[in-house]
Formats: sequence, structure tokens, C-alpha cells
Amino acid sequence: MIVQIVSSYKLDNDELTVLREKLSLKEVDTITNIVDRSVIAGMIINLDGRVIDLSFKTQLKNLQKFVL
Amino acid sequence: MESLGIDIKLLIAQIINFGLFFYIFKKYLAKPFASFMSDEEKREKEKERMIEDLKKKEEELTVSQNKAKNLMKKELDIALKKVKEDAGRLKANLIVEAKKESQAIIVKGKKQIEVERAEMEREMKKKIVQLTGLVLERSFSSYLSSDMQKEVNKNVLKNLPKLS
Repeated sequence: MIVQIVSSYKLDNDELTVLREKLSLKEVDTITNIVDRSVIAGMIINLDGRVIDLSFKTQLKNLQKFVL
Repeated sequence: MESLGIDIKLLIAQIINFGLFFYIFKKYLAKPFASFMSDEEKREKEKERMIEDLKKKEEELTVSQNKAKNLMKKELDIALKKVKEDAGRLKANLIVEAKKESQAIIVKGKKQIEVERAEMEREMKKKIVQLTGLVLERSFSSYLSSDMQKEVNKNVLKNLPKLS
């Protein structure tokens, strides 16, 4: 399984470990970490096409939609 | 008789002459003349009668013309009155219609203004929210330090449910 993580900075090993654990990834599964400053904080997880958006940017967008 | 200067023979001759003349006149001239005179008289009477008739007819015609004129005038007056009444009703209807239309235009205009104001408010709110979002995004991008970002990520990972 290929997992793609988009974050505002490069995640360290501890964070990646926690992530592996939370996502129940196996050793053979690879994680690709893409740095994108526009995310602000948090991360976007792409799990073989299944996207879990936990970014600060998306939270702000959702807040805007809610206010409107 | 002779002493009076009357000649008997001449008198007799004149009497005979007169008698002959009277006989001939009566026999051949008096009747046609009388007939002619009678015809003339009849024609004259006929003419007078015709003139009388014409006068009567003229009078009748004048009377009937006057009646027709009066009738026409009455009908014209009635028609004029009716036209005036119709015009008055039409005018009143037009005024009512115009008032209704103007009222409808005012109501429509008010509604349009309300719609446009609501649209403007919505648009303004949208712009404000977008601008606020952009400002917040820029502010967070600029002022959120690495430690803070790490802290956020830590919380995100902490709250992320374990996927099976």
C-alpha cells in the first residue's frame, strides 16, 4: 500500500511511527511525505485513494462554508 | 218708323243676319270654344290642385324634415351622452388600472430592492468571510511557528482514530 502524506513540514520519525500505528500500516507499506506550506498545519492523508483531510487550511475553508 | 230713321228691310235683314250668325256661331264655334274654355278651366283647376298638393307635400316634407332633424338631434344627444358616459367610465377604469399598475410597479420595485439588498448583503458577507479566511490563512502561515505546527500535528495524530 502506498500512503501519501501532505504536511506543512517534513514529518519526523516519531510522527511517522504514530501515523503507521494509527493507520495500521505494515512494514512493507511505504509512506511518501510531501511538504506543502499552504497546508499551514495538520496533514492530508491519501490512503490508496481514500483521502483523510486533517489540515488547518481545510478546517479554515470548512469554517468559511459554515459561516456562509 | 221711317220718320224715326229705321229702315224696316234693313232691320229685318240685320235680324236675319244676326240670326244666321247666332245659329252658325252656336252650331260651329260656341261648343268647341266652350269646350276649350271648359278644358282650360279644368286644366287651371288641376294646376291649382297640383300646386296645392305640392304645397301640402312641401309642408309635410318640411314637417317630416323637422321631425327627422329633431329625432336626429335627440339620437345624437343620446349618443353623445352615451359616449361621454363611456369615456368617463373608460377614464375611471384607466385611472384604476394605472393606479394598480403603479402600485404593482412599486411593490415589484420594493421587492427587487429587497432582493438586491439581500443579494448585496450575501455577497458582502461572502467577501468578508473570504477576506477573513484569506487573512487568517496568511496570518497562520506567517505566524504559526514550527513548534506550534508540531503541536497541532501532535494533537491531530492523537485524535486520529485507529484505522483497522
